[in-house]
Amino acid sequence: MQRIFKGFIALCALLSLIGCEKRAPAQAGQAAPQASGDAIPATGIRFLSGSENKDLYPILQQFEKENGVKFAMTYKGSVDGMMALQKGADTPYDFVWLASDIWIGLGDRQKVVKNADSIMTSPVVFGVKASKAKELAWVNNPGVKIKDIVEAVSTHKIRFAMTSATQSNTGACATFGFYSALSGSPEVLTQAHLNDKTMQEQISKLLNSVNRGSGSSGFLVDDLVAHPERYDAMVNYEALVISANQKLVAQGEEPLYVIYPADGMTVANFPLGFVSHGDASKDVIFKKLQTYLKSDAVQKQILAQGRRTQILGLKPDAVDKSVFNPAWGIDVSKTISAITMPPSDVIKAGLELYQTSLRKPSFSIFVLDYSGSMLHNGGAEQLKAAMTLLLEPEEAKRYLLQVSPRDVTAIFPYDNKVYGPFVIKGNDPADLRGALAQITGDIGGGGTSTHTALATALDYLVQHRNELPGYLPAVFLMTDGDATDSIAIFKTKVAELGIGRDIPIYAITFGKEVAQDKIDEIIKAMSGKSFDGTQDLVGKFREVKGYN
Amino acid sequence: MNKHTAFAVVALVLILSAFAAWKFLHVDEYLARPARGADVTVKVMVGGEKMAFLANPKVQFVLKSKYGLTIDASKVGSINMVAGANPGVDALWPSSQIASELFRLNGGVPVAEENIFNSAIVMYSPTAVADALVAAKIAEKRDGSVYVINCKKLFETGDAALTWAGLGLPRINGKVKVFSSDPMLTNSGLMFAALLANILNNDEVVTEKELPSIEPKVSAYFKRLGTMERSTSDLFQSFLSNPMFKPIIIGYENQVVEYALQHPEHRELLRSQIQVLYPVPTVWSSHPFIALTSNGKRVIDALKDPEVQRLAWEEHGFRSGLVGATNDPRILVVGGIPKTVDSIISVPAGPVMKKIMEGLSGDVSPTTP
Repeated sequence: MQRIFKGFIALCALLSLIGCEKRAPAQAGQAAPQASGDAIPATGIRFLSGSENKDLYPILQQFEKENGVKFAMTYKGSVDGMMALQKGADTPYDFVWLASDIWIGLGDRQKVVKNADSIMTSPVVFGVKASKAKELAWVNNPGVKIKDIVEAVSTHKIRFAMTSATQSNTGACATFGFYSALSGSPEVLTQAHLNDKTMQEQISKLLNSVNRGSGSSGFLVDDLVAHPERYDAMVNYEALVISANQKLVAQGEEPLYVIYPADGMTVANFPLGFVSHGDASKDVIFKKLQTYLKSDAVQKQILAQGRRTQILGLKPDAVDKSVFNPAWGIDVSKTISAITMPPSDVIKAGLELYQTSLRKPSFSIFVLDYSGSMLHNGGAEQLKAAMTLLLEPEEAKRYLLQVSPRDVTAIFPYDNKVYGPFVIKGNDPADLRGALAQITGDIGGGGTSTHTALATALDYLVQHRNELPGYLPAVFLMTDGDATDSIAIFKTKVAELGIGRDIPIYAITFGKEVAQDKIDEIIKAMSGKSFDGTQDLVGKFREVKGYN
Repeated sequence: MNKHTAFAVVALVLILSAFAAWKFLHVDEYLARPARGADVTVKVMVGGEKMAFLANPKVQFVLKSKYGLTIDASKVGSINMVAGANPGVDALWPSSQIASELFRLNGGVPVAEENIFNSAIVMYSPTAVADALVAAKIAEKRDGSVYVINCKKLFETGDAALTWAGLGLPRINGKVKVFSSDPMLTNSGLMFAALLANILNNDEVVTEKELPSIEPKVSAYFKRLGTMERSTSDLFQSFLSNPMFKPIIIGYENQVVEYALQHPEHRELLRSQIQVLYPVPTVWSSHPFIALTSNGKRVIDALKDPEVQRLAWEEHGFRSGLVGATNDPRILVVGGIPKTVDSIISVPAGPVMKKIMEGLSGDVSPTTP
């Protein structure tokens, strides 16, 4: 009886997770990978925003207060926003505020986004440490081109950071800037340019010199501010370089100097659009919000946050020089040259090329909890769904999560024992599916030796230490956090191997009773971040994979 | 002031107010008119660029008070609205003759049809770019303020294509090109395709005969534009935010008029920094009102009302589509608008446009993911 009861509880837990997309239970099993594609807040106005708008939230809060409404915010990178819109009328958001209408156009094939209007703009720029910019003679030099930046990165004159092209607008814009510069700056990029092997080799070399992928422009700023010693330069919005500089200067660190490449980049225009789900009152609130955001008073607040708001360009004497600081290379009167973004089919092909062939290969270690608690709280099902996203080629392609031919993937399932590793070198579909079959089969059920499993995984990484410089390594832990072995096992191993902070660990947690303090302690011993895998699993998984 | 004087003043003010209200509300005209029809609400599908006009309370007042008409307008793209049957709809009001022809090609039979407005397809540029075009003798300034542009040179491609640096604007990268919104999604984009086809055909209207040599050139030109905006107003808005980003854009003549009226604070900036360039030749974006029911037909008369036509010009920049009507640009809040637009060339016939669109969709329209 007790077993039946436990089984019932587990089923309920699973259904409650799947229920967030209101799927019929009959479909739940087969549709598990998509089951939590997007977390859908049950009430209020569901607001999808680019993560770079996070620091504008107080402005939205002010509106919430004045109008007695509540926004359920979901922040995503632009490419993820595009994927959310591909669901058309089933898009689980009411208001959509992405970085550029390019992503709305690519995602919204069913034309469900209405009344989209630009709220502000910010050019995509290169921010280079002032001393490096001086060294490279880039200060007050209007002639710096993308190919000069490519050259400096490829020859290791600057250590460069950017977001993942398959997640974030700035990463994608930079990548298309690189494609274009390395194709001889054609008027508009075509499929033929993307197919060129010489270009592919050059860009691959360039991306191998990029220090780290990051899922969003905002996180890239956080990372750079936290570790200014690691990078010399990044690509980001002018607004976010301003924000990074304010923080760097406050810390007594050197600010970044802004380069607007002479051969052109893009300007994000941040359109706010409405997706109708039949509730007319939301339409009224939307129009009110748009009017509010475009009002003089609010536009001034947005301007104070380093976004450009005025029509026909900003006048130098109309802006706060401590924000749009000329000493940081910021020049609001400068003509910003545009790169012509290619048609959507070329954009798609370019993103796929980045994901499957060009990005720096990943060395990914998955440490997967198959303990009894995971089996009973639905965690194991979610974990399998997550791994299916990565290892089933068709699923991976859908979410731009493809394993590349040069990636190394090693999987360590565990309960009170550690199984595997199941190692996949490259992306042969048969190998990927074979490993998937192994880890989605009937395994596990005992105790939770998380720390022992992590120590085993670290041993494996150390065995391959000499190969690691050619990869972006990362450890992914998927667990409900309730370890039964001692953390000392893991900490001793970290100290013994001396790998510590240069390899990040990302924890995706499942189940209702996550022992978050234990997870935090593990992350503290290395570096990284933890994510709640019960909400928006696809989104979270794409985010963590963005980091390697 | 004694009581009597005060009373007299109040009475005078009341009389004057009543008279002003009488004049302002056009009660005199109203009383002079024959009895209006019964009150009805008419369902009309409307191209997006006329939504502000139909939302104008003064327009609504005239339609209601004089004609008993309330318009229930829904915003639908001109090409979309003529694509299929529209049950329950009283009228279609697209933004081009092409849409009207496609309506007939698709087997549609209107109860009545009449052109209400015309709006020229124009280009917008920052003043610095407009002046550079004048210096290069591609454009000229007429009557001191109206820019007229000779398109031939502008649309050369390949090695013959102009570069911005060649025009003395080295900070703008690459070759000179005119940006438009997506011709498969927007009427202004499609009208530009029609204009471009005619220009590439030595300023003659393209027929089936020349089409095989012209159509690939039109598609190739649009291919150079990369990803295009999905609405005419998106392109205009992004142009206003960053005028040098796409330094020449296609738009409707009335866009700048409407924008200036809605944003008085930007009028001076617009006057000094943005110019309307009139292509020679150009095409009319006409606004045929296609009535599908007798109620729809009643709207045609109402829209031809002089007061409605006046509001359309003065507050929205739509030129009258009625024979013999004139529009005085001095009344407008923006400069650089001519009294008449000359050198209007017809758009190619419906079947020709259909083929141009097929060519564009092969190369331009984004594929479904």
